[in-house]
Amino acid sequence: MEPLDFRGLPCPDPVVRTKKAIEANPNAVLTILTDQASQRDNIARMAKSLGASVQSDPLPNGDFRLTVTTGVPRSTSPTVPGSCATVGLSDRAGFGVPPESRLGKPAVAREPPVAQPAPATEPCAAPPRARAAVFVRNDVVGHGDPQLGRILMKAFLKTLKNLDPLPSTVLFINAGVHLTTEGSEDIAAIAELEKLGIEIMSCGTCLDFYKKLDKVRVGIVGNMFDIVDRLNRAPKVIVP
Amino acid sequence: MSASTRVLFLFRSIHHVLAAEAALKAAGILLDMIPVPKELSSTCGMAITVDPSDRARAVEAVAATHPVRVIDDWKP
Repeated sequence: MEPLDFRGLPCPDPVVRTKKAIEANPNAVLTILTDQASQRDNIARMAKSLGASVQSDPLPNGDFRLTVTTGVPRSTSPTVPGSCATVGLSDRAGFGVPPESRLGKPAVAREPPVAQPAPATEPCAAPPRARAAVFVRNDVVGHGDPQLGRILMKAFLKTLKNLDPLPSTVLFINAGVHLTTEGSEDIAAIAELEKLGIEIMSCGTCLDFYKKLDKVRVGIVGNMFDIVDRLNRAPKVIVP
Repeated sequence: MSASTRVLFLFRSIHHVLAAEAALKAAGILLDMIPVPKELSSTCGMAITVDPSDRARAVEAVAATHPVRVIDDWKP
């Protein structure tokens, strides 16, 4: 198969095209070329979330080659007749984000693992409660006095850890990225959420705009595909 | 921070919390602003904690804001 040359394409095109290629080519080995480290990471993260294995190699000219080995498509994954757990349900609860994508720290989920397919003869266990996505669109809560909004955001972030079930992801976009970057007073509170196994993701375009791409102090950097994908999968979205 | 105790200040109003935060920062005292713990009652939703080693300086710094309660040995 010809290499998929995504060099020069704007974000998030390479991720979207890779996703389509993986879905169209089960049990295949795809070679992908990209010229940006951030796109390499985003492609790898998305591919792993689809069950593919990924190998990344730098090229002498500074580009990157990704070797993506796709697996069995989800729709044909083995399931046990009569069981209530499915790949889709499991994925919905945890978003299928591999722990290794979280700044190299293994995630520790507070909730027990999602139920595995049970033998057909046993009754179905209660389904796991789906976990929300939190969409932080600003560094303050609400409209009005910014000082009050700042205090409310502190309270909001520190209250999230008490939710049951915990949210699966907290997405920071636009001025929300000020909360995850150098100078924020809320980094410790957000890091505490990450330790609980909650994915923390900041919008890369926003970090670029605010010149803070190298100042992220907690969580990972995602693109618009990552963000919209998580919002789409979540059963509900909490917006402070 | 979570393993050790803190000194917790409760206030009557969010305006007092903001004034106390500014006073503590001006005095160079590290603070943590948290939602008022459920087991405590206050008319204001936010509280401030400081390290016990800063207690005396913190009490002096926030005196003008008249905290309604100071709780020693509070466990986060």
